[in-house]
Amino acid sequence: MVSIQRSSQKSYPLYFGLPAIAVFATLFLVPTITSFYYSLTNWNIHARTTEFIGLENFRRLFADKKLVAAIWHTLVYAGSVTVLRNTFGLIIAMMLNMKIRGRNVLRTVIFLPFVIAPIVIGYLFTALYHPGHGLINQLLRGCGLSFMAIDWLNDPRYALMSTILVDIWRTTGFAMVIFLAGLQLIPKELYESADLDGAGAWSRFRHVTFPLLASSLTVNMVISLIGTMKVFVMILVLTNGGPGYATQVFNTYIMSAFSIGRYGYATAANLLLFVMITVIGMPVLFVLRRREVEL
Amino acid sequence: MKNRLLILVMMSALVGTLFAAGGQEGEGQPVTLSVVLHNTTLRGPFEDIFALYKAKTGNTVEILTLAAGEDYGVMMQTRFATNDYPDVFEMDPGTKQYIKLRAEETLYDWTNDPIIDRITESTREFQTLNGKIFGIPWGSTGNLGVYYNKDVFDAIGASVPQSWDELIEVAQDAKAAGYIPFYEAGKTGWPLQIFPLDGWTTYVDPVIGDEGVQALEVNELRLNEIPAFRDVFVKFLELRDLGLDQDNLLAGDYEEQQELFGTGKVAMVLQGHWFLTILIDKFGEDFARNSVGWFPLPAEDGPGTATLYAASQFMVPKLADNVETSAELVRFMTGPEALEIWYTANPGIAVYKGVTADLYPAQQVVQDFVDMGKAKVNVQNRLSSSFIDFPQLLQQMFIDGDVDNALDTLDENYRVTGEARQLPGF
Repeated sequence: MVSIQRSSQKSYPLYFGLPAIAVFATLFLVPTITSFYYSLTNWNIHARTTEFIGLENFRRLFADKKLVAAIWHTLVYAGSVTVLRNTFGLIIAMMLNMKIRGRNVLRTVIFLPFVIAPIVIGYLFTALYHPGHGLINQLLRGCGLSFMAIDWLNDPRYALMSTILVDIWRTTGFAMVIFLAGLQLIPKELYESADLDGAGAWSRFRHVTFPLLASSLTVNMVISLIGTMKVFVMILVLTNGGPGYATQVFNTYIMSAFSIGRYGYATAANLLLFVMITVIGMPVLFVLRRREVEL
Repeated sequence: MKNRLLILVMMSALVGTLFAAGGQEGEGQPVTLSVVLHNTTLRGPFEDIFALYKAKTGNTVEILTLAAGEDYGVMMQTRFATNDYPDVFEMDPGTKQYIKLRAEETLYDWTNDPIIDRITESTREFQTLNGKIFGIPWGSTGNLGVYYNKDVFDAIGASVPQSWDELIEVAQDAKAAGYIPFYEAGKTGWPLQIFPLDGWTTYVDPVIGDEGVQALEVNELRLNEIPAFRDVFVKFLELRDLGLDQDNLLAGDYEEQQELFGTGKVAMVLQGHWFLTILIDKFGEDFARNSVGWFPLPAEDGPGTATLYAASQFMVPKLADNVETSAELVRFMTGPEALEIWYTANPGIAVYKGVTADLYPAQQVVQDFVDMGKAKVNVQNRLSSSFIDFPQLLQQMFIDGDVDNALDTLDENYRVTGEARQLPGF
């Protein structure tokens, strides 16, 4: 009797988890697994049947110059946003970790862009970036900096950079929050010991703060890398991959394949993106985890 | 127990009544039909037509609009694939839509319907594929070409150019007088297609003829193997290189194009018939009648050939719920009362016989070209595959000046799309 009761107590939590597991399996696991199969087929909206074609989709992907450019833009975007947002996020977190007046208000204001939907941010900056009557260029001209009043989104030399700047502005607050949480876990005694040893500000940062922020850095870097390699909405709203193909990224490339009904090909591209994120993200995670120090 | 049973029976009856209240076709009850339109189609006249239809039949029509463009077709295909059929839907022109939607299996066959006798001969031919008609044309034959501001032309003493060199001269005179000769909506993207498509009928069709287009249709000729088409792209770049486009072509947008044309700052724009409708809406009928002219892209040594933009079409899925009622709706829409409503609000070159519309001067010029036999349907409407990503690759061409790369990409996209659609020869 007791063993039956114990057995049913062990399986009881499973019953509550089953609905969630079923939803997860249906909406995530099954599509993910079947996408491996569909990437090897000629599945498209015009075909009555779907046929296995082996690696033909992948062969075409690697032969497409537009994809090569899209991958390059994606890597530039991901690298730039990851490094810069975490750098600014860390600097701002350290400043707002000090006892300064209004720091709570400042923390809120800096975090605010992150809670606004990317599509709204995108439309906002489309107006701000307007070369003629956008606020940014008007301010630059007003300050005598007309030479900097460029065509932010329509000049192929600057369009990608402009989208990167918007994403940095939007997500620095999130990085700041993670770093702030990490900073507040660092025992003050360590700083006091460092002061007693005669450490200056840079030494304190290098030998105390930065090592003990390793776990926050890991979280920020990995989330940022994965999220920025999947960038889509910001590019779609600001430039739609243009002008020309100047800001085409991996996900806009995939979207264009889906929009003409080439589902098998687009699924193969999606799989390639997944592999790219894994190949880049896993080593980064591994290297950063090794740096983490247990407090 | 008895009370519980009684309540159960009453609730079942109530639920059954609610489900039965949809009014399926054939039960004599009014039905609600769904009609899908492009979001660029004027909704007002349709609302008037459907109000008249409701007054006569008791059936209600709900309008749903979807974004126009290549994605519109994909969305309709997706709805068909998921058996989510609208009752009636507007579709882009051309028999390629029959292929996309596998018309024999999915669409109502209008071939022997009395409506067909009321359609103009050229339109009927255009709508026919292998002897069958699955789409009822709607509205007017449109056009692509050069819209010019007559006030600007008067100010610079210009007349309609009769050759490519004259066009350049007029543009240079406009620039010297402080006007923008051509405004291209480069940022918006899709208007960039007008120049090469209009250039095709003037420069390419006379060289390759219908046989050449047929060869393209079955992938026996490639787009990057047509020197005349390459020349059209070179001419397009020439306008920019001569400084005859606005300063920042890639920043130009469609709204600004309308605004600057309507306020007399721009001499010419490459646009389609919908541009006139917008000008009427923004700047009034008088402006459209007195200040807007049109001509096709001139040839090297002559006035050029008008590019016609085939009328859109209405289709009825034969697998939808209310097929016969939907077909009756389409017959009503193409009847005299409804056509009167439509053409009063949208004067144009009607695809129906016996319709007299008060054409605007710009439209009359198109009609004159049609009457002279110097008009041809836009090549995209004559091909079953599509020029995918055309706006993007034109933008890229303006960035890097590489005409050959643009043509190679266009050709590649065309063949990939033909293959994806499983067209013969691809």
